[in-house]
Amino acid sequence: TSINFSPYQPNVAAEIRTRQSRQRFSSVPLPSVVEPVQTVASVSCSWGAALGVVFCYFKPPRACEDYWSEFRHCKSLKNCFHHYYTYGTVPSCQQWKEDYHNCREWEKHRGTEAKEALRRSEKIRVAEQRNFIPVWQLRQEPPRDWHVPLNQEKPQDS
Amino acid sequence: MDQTKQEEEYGYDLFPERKPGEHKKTSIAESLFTFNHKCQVMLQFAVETSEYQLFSLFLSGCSKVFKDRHFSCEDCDGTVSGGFDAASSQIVLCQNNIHQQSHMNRVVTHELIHAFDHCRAHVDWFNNFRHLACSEIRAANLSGDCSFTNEVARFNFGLKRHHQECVRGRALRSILAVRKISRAEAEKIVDEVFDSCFNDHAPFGRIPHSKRDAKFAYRDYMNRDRYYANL
Repeated sequence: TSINFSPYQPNVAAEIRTRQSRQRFSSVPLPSVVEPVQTVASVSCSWGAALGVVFCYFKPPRACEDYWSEFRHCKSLKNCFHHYYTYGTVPSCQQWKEDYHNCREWEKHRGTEAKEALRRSEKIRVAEQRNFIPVWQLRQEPPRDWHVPLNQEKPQDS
Repeated sequence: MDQTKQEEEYGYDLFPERKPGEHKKTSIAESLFTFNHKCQVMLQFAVETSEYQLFSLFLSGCSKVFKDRHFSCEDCDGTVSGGFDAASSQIVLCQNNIHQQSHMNRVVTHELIHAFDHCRAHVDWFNNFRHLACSEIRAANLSGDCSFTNEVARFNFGLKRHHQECVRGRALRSILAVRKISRAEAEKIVDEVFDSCFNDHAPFGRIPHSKRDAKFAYRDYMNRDRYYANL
């Protein structure tokens, strides 16, 4: 079963750690050759089925091609125009290029520096996404009446 | 009468076919003499576009969005194009005011953002103006309502940071259309929540200006397991 993204679980990282501690299958496929464990908390862990132990390994958060396509898209005239139209400035795309190079670097040499640089950059991106105080409280589960058939709905009280 | 007051207060008077608590099916006569059939056809096309399919996934807990249950084509007053009725969990499309497919696509996206907010947060649509304003800001921001071409078509010529002005203006208009408050008060509320809500790009992770933005947002969503596992 895959780790479900859900808006009802805002702290995704904590959720992942909890699931790993319960030793559930992750959605990441098993490698045929297992890399030695590099380190620490947020890595992908899966059962080495034949050996019956847990192996943890790192994969770049996005495929390297994704970083390159994001860079190309960021640089494109259309995107620059839209960015100017929205924010009044031209976008800075250098980070995507750096991430792409770090990704390729990690693929070639499996260096810690490249990995940490990638992680740092993505964490900053996530932080930027969440850089606001929400106006409302998030739900823990969807509204109960979403699927209720129309004829069964109670008249609204005034 | 309590119900009339409620209708006016919550904007239901713009949607005369929609009495709170009552639901009626479209009669054959209505289908023949109104734009109902055209609306249904356009809705079908809108539902098949990739943005919609992307959205159905994003709705997560409300992951099943059924065309027959959650959409309704009706006649509306004025120049309103659509609405989201939280009481019945339905998106209302104004068949008498939507005449182009591109407009239909935009209205569907706009209302789906309201539906998305309804599904993921405790939004008090009826009593909390800040919540309403926030959802309107997000919907104007993320649905393409304020794209450059749409604004030019409305003869609103602006370039640098015009998107934000447009979002503010449209959110204001939407609030004033459905609630009886003064313009000054509405402006104040929009100003209060603007920074927070303009920067909330859920579920896209970015403001989708183009098909490629939408495609990348979808790719990010499909990749989320790997992404968060490797942070």
